Amino acid sequence: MTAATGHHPQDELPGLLLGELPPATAVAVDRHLAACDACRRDLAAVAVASSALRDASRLRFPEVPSRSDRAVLRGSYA
Amino acid sequence: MEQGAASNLGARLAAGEEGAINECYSALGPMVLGYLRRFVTRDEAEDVLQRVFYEVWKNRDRYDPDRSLEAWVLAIARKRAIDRLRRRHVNVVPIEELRDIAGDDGRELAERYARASEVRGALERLPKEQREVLTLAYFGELTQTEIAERLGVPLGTVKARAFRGLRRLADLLGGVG
Repeated sequence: MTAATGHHPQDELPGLLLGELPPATAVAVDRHLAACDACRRDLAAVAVASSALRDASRLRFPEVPSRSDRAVLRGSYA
Repeated sequence: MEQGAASNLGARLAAGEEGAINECYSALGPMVLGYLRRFVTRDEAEDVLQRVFYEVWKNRDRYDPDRSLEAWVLAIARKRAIDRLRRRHVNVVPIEELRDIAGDDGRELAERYARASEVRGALERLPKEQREVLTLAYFGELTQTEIAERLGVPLGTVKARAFRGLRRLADLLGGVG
């Protein structure tokens, strides 16, 4: 099996970006990426989405409805 | 709780019978709290628990008494726990300081919020399974192995959902590909 024609390890790409792959898997994925244009394109796409999610997770958004919900709840059974 | 008692309670809840929600809370509360603790801290779990039962009551007409009440309540609990994870990340820098960093007009900050809002909007458009995995990974900061354990699905399933979700999110955001 050659890297370019073998199984495409697309499902490992998020783990690669998150640094969660075991070293041996990461090396195998890297090797495949070096020889496979399609997977490199996939990696570029998921990297964009991954970094956008990471940025979004760092900003706080106000949680508007919960306070009034809690007030309603206190009146009902809390 | 016995099966008969549970189904009877479910029917009374669906019928909007007063007191059914309190019984429901007493009967299922501890189990739901335990379930929520798999996703969030104890304080958060208690807070989410209140919200879950509020929703159970509010949406009681959507409950089908022929189905398991526990399963229905746990499905709501899971959704709310994940919502909580998504909102958890608190930026420790006060907003005024962020404005200083961003410049007087705060344009950069506004752009970051706009972008984050766009990303959250795109996330909402993903199929539920993909959204769930990405939310737990990025907002809950769980590893893929932890996500697999919490959702009770194989690691390979988590990896596949994460890939498809990110790929689709990239398309929605107009990114590469």
